[in-house]
Amino acid sequence: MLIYWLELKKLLSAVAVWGFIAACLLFNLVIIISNSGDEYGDFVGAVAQVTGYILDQSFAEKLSRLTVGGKPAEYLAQLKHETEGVTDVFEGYETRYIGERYIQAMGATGYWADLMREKYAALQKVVEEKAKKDESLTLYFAGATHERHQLLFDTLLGWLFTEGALAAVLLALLAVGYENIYGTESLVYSTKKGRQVMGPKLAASLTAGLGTYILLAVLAFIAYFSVNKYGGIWGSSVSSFFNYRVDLITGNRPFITWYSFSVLTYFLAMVGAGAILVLCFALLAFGIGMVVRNSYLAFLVFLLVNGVNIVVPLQMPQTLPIGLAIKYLSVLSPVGLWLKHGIWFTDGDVDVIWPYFETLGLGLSLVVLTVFCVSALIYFRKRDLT
Amino acid sequence: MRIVWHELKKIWNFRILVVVALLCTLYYWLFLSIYIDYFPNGHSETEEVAYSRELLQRYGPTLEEDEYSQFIRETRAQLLAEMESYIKSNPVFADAGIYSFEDYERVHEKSDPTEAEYKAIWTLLGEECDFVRFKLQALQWIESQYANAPQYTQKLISETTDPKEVERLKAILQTKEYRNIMDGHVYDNTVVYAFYFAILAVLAVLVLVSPLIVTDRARNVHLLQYTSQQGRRILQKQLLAVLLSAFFLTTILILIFGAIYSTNGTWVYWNSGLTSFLNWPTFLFNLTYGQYILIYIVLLYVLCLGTAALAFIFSPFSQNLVTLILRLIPLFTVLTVLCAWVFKYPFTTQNFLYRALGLVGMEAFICGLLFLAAVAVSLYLVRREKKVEV
Repeated sequence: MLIYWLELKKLLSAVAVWGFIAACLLFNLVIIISNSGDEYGDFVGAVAQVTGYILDQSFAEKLSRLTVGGKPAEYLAQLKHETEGVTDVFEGYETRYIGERYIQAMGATGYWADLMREKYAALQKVVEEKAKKDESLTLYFAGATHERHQLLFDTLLGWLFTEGALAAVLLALLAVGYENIYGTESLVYSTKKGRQVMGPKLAASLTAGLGTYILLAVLAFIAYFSVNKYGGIWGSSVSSFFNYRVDLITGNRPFITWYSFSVLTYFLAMVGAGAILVLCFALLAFGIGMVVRNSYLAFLVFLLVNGVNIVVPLQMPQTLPIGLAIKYLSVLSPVGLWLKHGIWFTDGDVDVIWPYFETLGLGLSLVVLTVFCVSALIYFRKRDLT
Repeated sequence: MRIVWHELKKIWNFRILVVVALLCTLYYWLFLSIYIDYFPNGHSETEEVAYSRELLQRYGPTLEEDEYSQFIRETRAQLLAEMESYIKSNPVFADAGIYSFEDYERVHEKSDPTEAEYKAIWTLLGEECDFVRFKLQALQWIESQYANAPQYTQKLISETTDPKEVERLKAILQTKEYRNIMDGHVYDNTVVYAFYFAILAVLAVLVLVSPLIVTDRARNVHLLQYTSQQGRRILQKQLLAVLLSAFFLTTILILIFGAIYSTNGTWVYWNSGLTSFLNWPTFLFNLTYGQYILIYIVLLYVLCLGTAALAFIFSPFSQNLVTLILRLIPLFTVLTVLCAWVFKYPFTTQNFLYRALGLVGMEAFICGLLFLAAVAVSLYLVRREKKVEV
C-alpha cells in the first residue's frame, strides 16, 4: 500500500499534469461560455419549478395562471404555444422501419439482418412501455430541448471524456515508463518488490486517471450549471416529446432510451459510463506502455491502435460478411464507444446491432483490456530489459 | 555542420518515421481521402465542374459575352437533341405520357406525379440517360450565374458597409473580373483539403521534432555535451536541426499529398482568376488559383517552421517525454484553431480573421508573427543556455 501511495504521489507531483488540467478547464470554459446564454431554456427551467414537468391538465392550468412582464412574457407565450396540444409520440410509434432502413443501408443479410430486426423488435416493447408511462409527455426544455441536450450530453461530455481519457492515458504511460525515463529501472527491479512494482503502478495510474476525470467533470459542471439553469426539469424524461435525434438514414426521430431515464439519472449514467470508458483507455495505454518502453512511442502506438480501429471499419467493403462483422464489432471498442457517446443508452445507429451496446461494449472492453494488461504484466516479469 | 547532421540523424530515426508515416496514412483515410475519392461529389456538381473545365479549354481563363452566348446556345441545342432522342427511344417515357422535352418538363413540375411519371423523371436524371437532365440543370445554373454576376456584385456593394470591401467589389465590377472561369466546387474542395492538410503537417512536425531535446535531457546527455569542445553551442545546432527537419518534412508532405491531390485534375485552373461568376466568395486580392496555391504553400512552410520552433521552446521545460506530450496536446489544439483561422477561405471576406478584425492579409501576418516570435524566443533560450546554471 505504501508503494501505491508513493507512486500516486509521483504522478500527481508532475507540474505538467496540473498544467494540462488547467488547459482542459480553460478549454471547457470556452466551450461552455460560447455555447450558453439561451434565456428561453433558463426560463423553461424556472417555470418547471412552479408548474412541474409533467405535461398534463394541472401543468396547463398552472401555466395559464403565470404572469410575467417584459421579455419573459414572450417566452411564456412561446412555452404555452409549444406545450399546447402536445401528443404522446410513442403512442402507435413503430420502430420496425428503423431496423429495415438500417439493414438496407448496410446491405446486411442473414444473421446480421436478423440481429438488427431482433433489436428493433425489443425496442418496440420499450416504446410501448414508454407510451404506457406517458414518458414523452414531459417538459424537458420545450423548444430549447435539442440544443440543451446536445450541449451537455454530446458536446461537453464528449470533450470531458476526451480530456479524461487523454489525461488517464498519459498518467498510465508516465507510471509505466517512469523508471525507464529516469534510468532507475535496474535499481527498482533489483529490490525485494522487484518487477511486481508494476501492480501498484497500475493501481496508482488508474486512480490518478479517474481522479483527473472526476476533477475535470466537477469543475466543468460547476461552470456549466452556473451558466445554464436547469430549475425544475431534472425529473423530466430524456425521451420527452421535445427531444429528438438527427439521423441521416431514417430522418429525425424520437430519442428512445432502453431504460426510463430522467434528465438526472441519464446525466449520472453518462458520467458513470464515461468513467469506465476512461478506465478502458488507461488500461489500454498501460498495456501498450509495458510492451513499448519508450513512452513517446507508446503514446503514438496508442493513437495508431485507436486510429486503425476507426479507419479499418470505414475501409471495409460492406459486401463481405467479415466487413460487416468488423463494422459492428468495432463499435464495441473504447474508441468506437467514444465516437458514439451522444447516443449511449439508446438504440444506437446504423452500425449498432446489439441492444444496450454501450453497456455491452464497456463491459467487454473492460474485461478484454484487463486481460491484456494482466498478460502484459506477466510478460514484463520475465522480459529481457537489457 | 557535422553535429547538425548527427542531430538530424537522431530526429529522423526509423521508428519515429514509421509512426509518422502510419499516422499520415490513417489521417489521410480519415480526413483527406474523401476530397479525392468523392470529387466531384454527386449531381449536378459533376456536370458543373465538367462544364467549367470545358469552358476553360475552349475559351481560356476568361469568358467573354460572345463566347458565353455561343457556349450556352450550342450546348443547350445539343442537350435538347440528346434528351429528345432518349425520350423517343426509351418506353419509360411513353408509359408516362411523355413524348417530348416539353412534356417531360410539364411532368417534372407536377407536385404529385404518378409512379410511371416518377420513374420517367428519374430516368432522364439518371445514369441510363447519361445524367442529361442534370447537365441541363448545370448549364442553366452557369447561364444564370454569368448573366446575374454584375447585379450580384452590385447587390453586394449595396449591402456592404466596409469601405475596403466596397472598393474591391467596385474594382471587380469595373474590370469585369467576375468573367474569370474558376469553378466554386473546385475552389471549395481545394481549400478544405488544404486546411486538413495543414493540420496534418503541423501534427507531423510536432511528432517528429519534439523528442530531440527531451530525450537528451531526460538521460542527462546534455551535461555530457556541455563538457565537450562544442559546449553549450550544441543547443544552437539542435535548433538548426529542428528547423531543417521541419522544412524537409513539410517539403516531403507537400510533395506526397500535393501529388495525391493532383489526381483530381484541378491544376487545369492554374491560371484562372479566383474571382469568378462560378465562385461565390469575394476575394480581397486579384489572385489566380496557381498563385493562391503558391501563397498557401509559403504560409504552410512558415507555420510549420514556427511549429517546430514552438516545439523547441517547450522541450527544455519538459522533464520527460510524457510531460512533453502533456504540453504538446494543448499546443496542437491551439495550432489547429490557428489553422482554421488562417487556412479556411484565406484572403476572402469569409475568412475568420478578416471577419473578426476587418484587416486585409491577417492570415499571412499571423503566420509570420508566430514564426518570428517562436524563432526569437528559441534564439533567446539558446543564448540563455550559455550562461544558465545546470
